[in-house]
Amino acid sequence: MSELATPRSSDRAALARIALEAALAVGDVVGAEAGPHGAWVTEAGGERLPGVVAVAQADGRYALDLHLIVRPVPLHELAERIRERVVRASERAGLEGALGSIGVSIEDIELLEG
Amino acid sequence: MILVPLRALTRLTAFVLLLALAALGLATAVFSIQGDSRTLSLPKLAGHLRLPRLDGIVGDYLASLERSGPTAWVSVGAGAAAVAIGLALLVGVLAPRRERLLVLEDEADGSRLAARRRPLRQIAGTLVEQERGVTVAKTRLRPSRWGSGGRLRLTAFHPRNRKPEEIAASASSAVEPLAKAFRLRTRVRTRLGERGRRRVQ
Repeated sequence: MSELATPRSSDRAALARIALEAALAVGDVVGAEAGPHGAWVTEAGGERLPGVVAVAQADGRYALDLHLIVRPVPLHELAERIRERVVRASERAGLEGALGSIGVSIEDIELLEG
Repeated sequence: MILVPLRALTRLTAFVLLLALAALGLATAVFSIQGDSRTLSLPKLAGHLRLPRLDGIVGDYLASLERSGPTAWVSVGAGAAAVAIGLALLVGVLAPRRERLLVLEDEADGSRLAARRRPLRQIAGTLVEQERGVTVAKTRLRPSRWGSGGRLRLTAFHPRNRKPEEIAASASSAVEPLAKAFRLRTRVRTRLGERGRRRVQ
């Protein structure tokens, strides 16, 4: 009987996890939104990653869509910071070749109290 | 707005037709078990469904349709109505859904930044309510069906001692950066605040 290879997380799942972690590490990102009926969730090896969707592009890379809840800050700059973080994190993981477009959807804005 | 009931009608029609098709398929399968004119045979099914009688009715109807008279005109009307219903159902199926996102930037490589309507409405409302003389602001935001941009409708409530023109101008300027960034066409209305409608801070 041949030896079974150890299951390895796919590039898609790994990218989704990295992108979500990188986005949530940005200061003005409060959280991620799983969407209606969990539509914006990526399943990664039995783990649920709410707020990120990774879809294969025609060129073989993976387009990432992040659905985030953020603080009321300038959105352009925030999106740029998120993208930079995601790109850097994917480079560190050696997955920059698999990273396609990065979409950021602001699902809600958490207003500051007082 | 008519698209919403049309979509609901399309979904209902599709559901009913699928249900009818499933029931008919099941009945046909069950009544194919036996042959000849036995209990579970297709001729029996035709008898249960009164197909021979229906054949007679349709035959009479087609015969009367060939002659000019009221039946022909009723048929023309029914045919036109069927075409209209068919077209309405097609619109319900094929009309593009309104994207509930407002796109701030859309790059050629597929990267985009978009925001949902609710937070943008909240921002617009907050910006207007910060203006002097505005007691309450109501906002409606409709993304464009095609491409980016949309329409922002604002209603700013104000007390009697404030001029509506001033309120409209200040409300417009308050949301201008937001409207510009998201390519929103802004329409501002002012209304005199009703008794009891007051912002609590």
